[in-house]
Amino acid sequence: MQMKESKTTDSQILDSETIDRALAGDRLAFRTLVQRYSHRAFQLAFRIAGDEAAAEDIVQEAFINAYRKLGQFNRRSSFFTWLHRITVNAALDHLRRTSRRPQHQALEETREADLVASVPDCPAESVEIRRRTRVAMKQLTEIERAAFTLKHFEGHSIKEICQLLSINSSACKQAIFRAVKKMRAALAPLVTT
Amino acid sequence: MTRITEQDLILLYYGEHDDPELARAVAESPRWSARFNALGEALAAADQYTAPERPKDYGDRVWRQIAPRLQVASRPSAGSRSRLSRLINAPLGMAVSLLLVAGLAFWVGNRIGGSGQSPPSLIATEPGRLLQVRVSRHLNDADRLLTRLSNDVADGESETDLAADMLLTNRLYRRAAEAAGHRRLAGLLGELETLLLELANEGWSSGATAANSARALDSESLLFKVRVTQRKLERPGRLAEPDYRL
Repeated sequence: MQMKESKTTDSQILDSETIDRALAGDRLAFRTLVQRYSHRAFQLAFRIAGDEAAAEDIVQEAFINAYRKLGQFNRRSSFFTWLHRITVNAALDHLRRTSRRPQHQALEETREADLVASVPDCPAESVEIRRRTRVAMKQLTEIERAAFTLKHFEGHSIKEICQLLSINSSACKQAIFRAVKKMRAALAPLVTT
Repeated sequence: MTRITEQDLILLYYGEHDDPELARAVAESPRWSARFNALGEALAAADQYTAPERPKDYGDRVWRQIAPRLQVASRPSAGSRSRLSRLINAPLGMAVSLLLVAGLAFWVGNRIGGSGQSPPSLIATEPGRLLQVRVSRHLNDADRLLTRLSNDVADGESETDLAADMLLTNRLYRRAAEAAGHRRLAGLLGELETLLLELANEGWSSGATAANSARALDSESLLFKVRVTQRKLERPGRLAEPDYRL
């Protein structure tokens, strides 16, 4: 455990030095941060947006915003915590800007199913669970998906989610309840209900 | 607690329920425990919703795509935070820290020199007796698991399955113990949860590995605490705070 904490500290120190260099005008220093955190940012963006191409756009937008605001990063949290918030905001902006396109949905689902089935060494039941979770996530409304992602995958408190999504506590809870209900319904034949 | 709803269970699962009695009420009811476990199972399955893998050079690709746009973006500046805000923030932060330290000292002082009232016992009341029995059984399972781990006779698969089965119930009992102010029992269940989580996620690989040895050591020390607590739980009546001192 101690080693893990020490690693975290090392990583924060490393980030801090890299940020200093970026603020001094070294653009390649910022490149290091992009290389270091792109995968994690993509994971988050994908869960909120539910779409690969959109998630890639969100990651780019998030890093550009982070570059612009780097001077405002107060270093009280880790760089990724700060980037995480920027990525969430970029994803929410993206959701607000874009509307769903039902005509593409069936095609997307087929692609998703192919993608899930192509995972090597994956038992059939596990493939089915993955497929169903993906379909269920796609069926959530944008606010449900964002609230559920922030609560379930990112571990934010309801208070934090209210602030991020600019909604009140009751609306936030209801969005999470509906998301959980839909998720359980989608997984019903495979897990105990 | 008059009526428990599915929404209560969801909030409990995420540690967001306002009523500290809920965890205890759910833990005491076989029906609601089963529903809580079913909810946990479904939500654990949802964890399989992961993003498609990106190639290793994905970071480079992102960089190539954003680099031209950074040239036109305004350069980041270290001076964005005004000196005024920094001047305000520094003393304010220090004042808040001092207040917190003072508050903590006051609280500790009260605990040590106060009325000597112990926290309400998780199992002191008659309705809590059922929970006492259930926690005791849970610790019995933990005892068997930890014995196998500390004696290094684990075969891997069965321990991993048992750990996964015990995880949700353990979490529920821990929350019930926390809500009842039974800190030592909650602490013990917290330690157990860490080990169960590791086992459920990473398994017990065959052969002597550094991770196995570390877990065997942890199991041995945890086993002692589990047995002390279990013995106290099996006695009728009020559970005193277990004393691990020798």
